[in-house]
Amino acid sequence: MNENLSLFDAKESKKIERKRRMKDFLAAGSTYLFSSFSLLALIAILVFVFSKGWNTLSAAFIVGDYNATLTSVTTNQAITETTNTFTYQAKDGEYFAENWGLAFTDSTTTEGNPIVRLSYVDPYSNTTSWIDSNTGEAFRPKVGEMITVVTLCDSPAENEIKIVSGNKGAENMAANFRKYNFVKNMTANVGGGGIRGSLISTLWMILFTLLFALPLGIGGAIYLGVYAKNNVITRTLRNAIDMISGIPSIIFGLVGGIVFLPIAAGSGSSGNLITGSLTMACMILPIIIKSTEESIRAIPLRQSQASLALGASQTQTVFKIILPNALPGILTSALLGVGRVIGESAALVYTSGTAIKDVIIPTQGSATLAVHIWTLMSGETMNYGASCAVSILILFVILLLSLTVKLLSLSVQKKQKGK
Amino acid sequence: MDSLKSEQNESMQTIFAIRHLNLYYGKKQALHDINVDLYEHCVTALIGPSGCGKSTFLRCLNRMNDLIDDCKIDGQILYHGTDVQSVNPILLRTKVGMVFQQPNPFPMSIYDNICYGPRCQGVRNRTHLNELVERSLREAALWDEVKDRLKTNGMALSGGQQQRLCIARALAMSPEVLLMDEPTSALDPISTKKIEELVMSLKERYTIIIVTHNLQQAARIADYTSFFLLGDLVETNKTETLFSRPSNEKTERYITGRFG
Repeated sequence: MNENLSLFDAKESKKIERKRRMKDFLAAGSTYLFSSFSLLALIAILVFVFSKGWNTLSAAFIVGDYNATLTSVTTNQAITETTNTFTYQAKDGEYFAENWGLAFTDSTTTEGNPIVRLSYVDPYSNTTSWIDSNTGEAFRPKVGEMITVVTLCDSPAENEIKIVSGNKGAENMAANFRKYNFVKNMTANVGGGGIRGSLISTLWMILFTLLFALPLGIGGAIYLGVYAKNNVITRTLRNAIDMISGIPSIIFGLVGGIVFLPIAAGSGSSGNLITGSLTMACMILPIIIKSTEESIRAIPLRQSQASLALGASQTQTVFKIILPNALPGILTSALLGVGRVIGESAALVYTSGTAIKDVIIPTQGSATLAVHIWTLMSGETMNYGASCAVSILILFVILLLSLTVKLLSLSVQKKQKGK
Repeated sequence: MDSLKSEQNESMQTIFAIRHLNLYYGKKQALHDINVDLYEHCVTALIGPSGCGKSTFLRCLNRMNDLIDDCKIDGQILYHGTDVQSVNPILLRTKVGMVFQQPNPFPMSIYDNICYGPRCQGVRNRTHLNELVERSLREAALWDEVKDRLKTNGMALSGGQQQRLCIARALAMSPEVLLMDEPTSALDPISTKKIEELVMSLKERYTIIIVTHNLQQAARIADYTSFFLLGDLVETNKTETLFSRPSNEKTERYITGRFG
């Protein structure tokens, strides 16, 4: 009795209270701290990606070719000597070669490498004799064209030759153009570094993956949700499906490479979009099966009972009642699968190739957006700018997808409440 | 249990003859040695406390118990003299329709709800389906209320209308028997009255077997009443006889409310 009382002793209880508060503070504080870390991580990712990639992101970047169109220019040197002097009010950062009527500015390629661009071409600029050496037609330089390299000389006799590279800066380029009155040849560069090819390749990949995975997944879900009896085989199957979703994607890539590539090789091709999407289909299969099965189970039993009691067969019930009702769930699973396909790189590196292409043929290997990042970053110089720009695109699409999934599930809830 | 023979009306045709029916859910026996005859163009009510096996018995008649994994049936259920266990359940269910406790229209238009059964049997003819929809809805006393909005979703109707839609849906199959599993227990009194009137009018063309918790309802609409208790069929008799002069003491205690 006395011992019990001592628990409520004023001094003691104050001490206990203080101790408890301390513990509560530590426990609560650490949960706040840890939970804020995930928010911090998200913010850090967004800040990093946007700060690095935002400047690179442009319409030209999204719809542009990855491989630049190179134009070689040779000149008819007899008439290329500049005699005029042009005037142009050069803006800040522009360097004007008065003898040519051309202004240059420092710029970067779509991928983010330094390059010199033409920022002004005088309408009468002395470039009329430039000839595109590929087509043999006259070549008029245009504003925005990038100059990769140019060979200048002092006279048609070529006593003194100067090769100027486009990555040495606009000031250097303008100074050399001022100094020399003859252009021997020049390589101009239009576009390049764009991601249109990878974008299209991603779309193909999504299409093919869903084409393979949806019938298999929906079929599996119908079996598990409608036909399967609750026995050892069914339980094993369920566990297997759960385990598939836990397998690291690189292992899918390896196995896909081993299993699907020989099949593709048989048809005379190495890893391509089809083999890649087969691998992706295996990866997203559990997502589709689980989500579809859940939505099948959510359909009130009385619906299928009503159908069966009307003399419909089990199959008719599945196709006329269960599947239409499960459609939102199937759509949700497809969208989740699409998110997975867009973001996947490891499984595709071995199965659909890392080569970035501009012309996409499904039976040839080409990089998707995520693999595009992998390729950009695995070069000698890591290209953070372009990679982050691609990342922004991927994040944006994923955000859109998850919003759509939220809206879908909301509408399903509403429908089930009969609104 | 043999009392049913004595009260039998000889002019009535037996549609269901149940002989020594035992039903097990796994190891648990839910129905014990049921023997009963059910007659054509009658309303037979099945009464009894919850869990006494009356719904289970009802679901034996159109083999809906097949859907339950560990359900095992012994004995014979003769439908026009043929054991239902030997016929195709799909065929059986087109002849023996069912209406459930909860109204369960499909989330599709009223029109498509009615056409669901016939379409599953391969009926595609548009004019035929139109006639079928009108006939079924008229029979279910719903036509006047919905004839202008056949394209609206069946789920948008009121509870009572939904239940009549379900009845119309079952009637569209032109069944011989209509099984009703507490069809009014989820409805308000006015809707209940409508369904009861409907049942009375339907018995001329159909045989109706109805499970109900409402003894007054059984007394109002049923020609025959069977009393189930703990998986046993205690008594089957003409309704007035069963309610006025029950031959079994348990029945008497149940209908006077001193029991169950």
